[in-house]
Amino acid sequence: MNTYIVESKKLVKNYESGEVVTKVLHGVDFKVKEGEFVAVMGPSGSGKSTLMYQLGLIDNPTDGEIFIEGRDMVNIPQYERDDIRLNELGFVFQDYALVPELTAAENVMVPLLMAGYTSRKAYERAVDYLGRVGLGERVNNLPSQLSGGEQQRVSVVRAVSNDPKILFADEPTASLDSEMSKGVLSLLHDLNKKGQTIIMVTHEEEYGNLAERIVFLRDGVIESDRKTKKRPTK
Amino acid sequence: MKLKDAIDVGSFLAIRSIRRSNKYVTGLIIFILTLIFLNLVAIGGLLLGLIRGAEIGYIATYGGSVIIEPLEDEKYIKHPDDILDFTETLPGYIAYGPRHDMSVKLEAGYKEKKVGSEVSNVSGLLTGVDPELEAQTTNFPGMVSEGRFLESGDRDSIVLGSIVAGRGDTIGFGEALENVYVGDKIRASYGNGSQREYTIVGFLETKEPEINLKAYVTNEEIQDVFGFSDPKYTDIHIKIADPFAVRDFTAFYEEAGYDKDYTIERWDQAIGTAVDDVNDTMRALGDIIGGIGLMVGAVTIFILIFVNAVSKRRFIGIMKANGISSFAIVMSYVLQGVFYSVIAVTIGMVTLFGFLIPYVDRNPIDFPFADGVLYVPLDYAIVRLIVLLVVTFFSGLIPAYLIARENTLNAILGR
Repeated sequence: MNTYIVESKKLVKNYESGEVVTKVLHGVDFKVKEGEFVAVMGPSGSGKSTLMYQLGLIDNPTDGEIFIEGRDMVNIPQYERDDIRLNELGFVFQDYALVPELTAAENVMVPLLMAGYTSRKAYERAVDYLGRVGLGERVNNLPSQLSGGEQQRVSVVRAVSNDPKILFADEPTASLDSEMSKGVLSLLHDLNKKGQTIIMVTHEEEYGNLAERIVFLRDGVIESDRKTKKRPTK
Repeated sequence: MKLKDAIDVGSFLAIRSIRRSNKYVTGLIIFILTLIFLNLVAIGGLLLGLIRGAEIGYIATYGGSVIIEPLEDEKYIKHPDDILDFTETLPGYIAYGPRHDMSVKLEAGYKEKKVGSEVSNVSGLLTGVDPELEAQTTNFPGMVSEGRFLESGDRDSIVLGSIVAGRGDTIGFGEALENVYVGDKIRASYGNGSQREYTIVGFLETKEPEINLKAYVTNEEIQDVFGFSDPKYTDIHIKIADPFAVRDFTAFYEEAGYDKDYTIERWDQAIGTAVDDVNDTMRALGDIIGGIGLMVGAVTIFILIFVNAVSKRRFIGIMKANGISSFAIVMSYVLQGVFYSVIAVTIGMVTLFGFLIPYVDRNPIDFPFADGVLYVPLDYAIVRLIVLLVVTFFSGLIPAYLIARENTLNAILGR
């Protein structure tokens, strides 16, 4: 029985621009167990974000296999991939990307409505989750009325409000100062303690050390895969 | 993921986007769309209104709504009292004006004629009228530009249409008398050889050329000239309450069998099919002009939605990454476009029917041949309203679809 919640086998990703082919991932084998907090690190251009986009079904690999809970994700139709992204995966991006016309609560509500929640239920859940991350007083604020750290917390809540099985975070602290970064990482850490599987791309070794495992990529291949000193949460 | 959920999300995003968008920009979009709608409807309505104005002018000032004439092989209307008694009992009847048309030769300045010089003369139509009845039917007295109209009992008086009198624009309408003024004497030579001298008591000038082309005396005078024991009429013009419900009115004559002894003609038949052709032409012209406006509108909406969607490309990408379907995102933009156009056509309809049409009705546009009104039948407006909504729908759909279908990763990374 497969015990990995996400797994890639010989994952290859090339980008083509005219006749120029840029090879980014060169057959990456990557595995994450349920409840793990894995940091993907590496220098710029090493392929860490590209790996995350393939595993998160945002992009299609050139070759190789991806499994989520043992299910093949490469050979499924687009609508199934969309459905899996909605119900099983969550994404946090570097610059939060909250919809500017929506309040904090409404930004969180959108994926919930898409998942079939009624407007009232979605709002209650959004307010509940935002309250848990210290934004209970800010639920009706527009993104422009929130600090960067607050916006990133809303972005994390948006990603996890539908209880995804895996949370992908692509450099979630890159746009934040160190104080705000610590707040967001603490939030991710708390989520992981409650059993949330997290795959986080980061440049900062200090932040990477908050994960249980650091996978180091260089030139599209895994150079190292090591446990950190952090005690596993599960 | 259900269709209903996608529509819910689309509506959710659209409502909030509209509610929180810049009010000046929203106002400008709605203003532009309102102008497009008015352009689409009002230009055509104005062109149709030109003809409508001419029709109204014809009915109100010359022809009435129904014209009773003799049968084809008869010269005069037989037993006019029979059909007039019946007419007066009909619902919607207001007044009638009996007339007697004939050709005459009119001469002016014959008293001052010098040897070898030509007398100013014109061969044309003369109409016998009943001044009091005509005042109720066509308001001829109200069209007098100089002098006065005929009065009952006038026997040596004549009123000239402006074209016969050589006043105003007579180009294309044949000969005219020269140097005639109110108070001058002119001579009429009738078909039966009679000659009568009349004093010009007034001139008629209207936008209806048929009125301006004729001279007018009383029916009593005609009866006397021709020695008729009873009045003879060549046409009787009927004024009714709703001139455009004329078919219902003429149906009464047909039901009573009067169409066997009289020619019962509606105003639109009297004007002839040329008017229908002109109407069709005006409608086509209105559609062409409106269609150009519609294309401009479609492009405007397209650009607005496209720019809006492009500026939110990254948000769209991230929403898609979080599982929001392209359909929901497209819906949000389409609903915004439809919302703007619904508001615009509502404002347009209220402006049109609540203000513009009544205003132009009260203050017709002064065109040389008619008083133009804004004629917009409701079905004409509704068809164009639907066209605008459909065009707006697709103008929102296409750019939103182009952006939403984009590769999610490219949208997120802005490449």
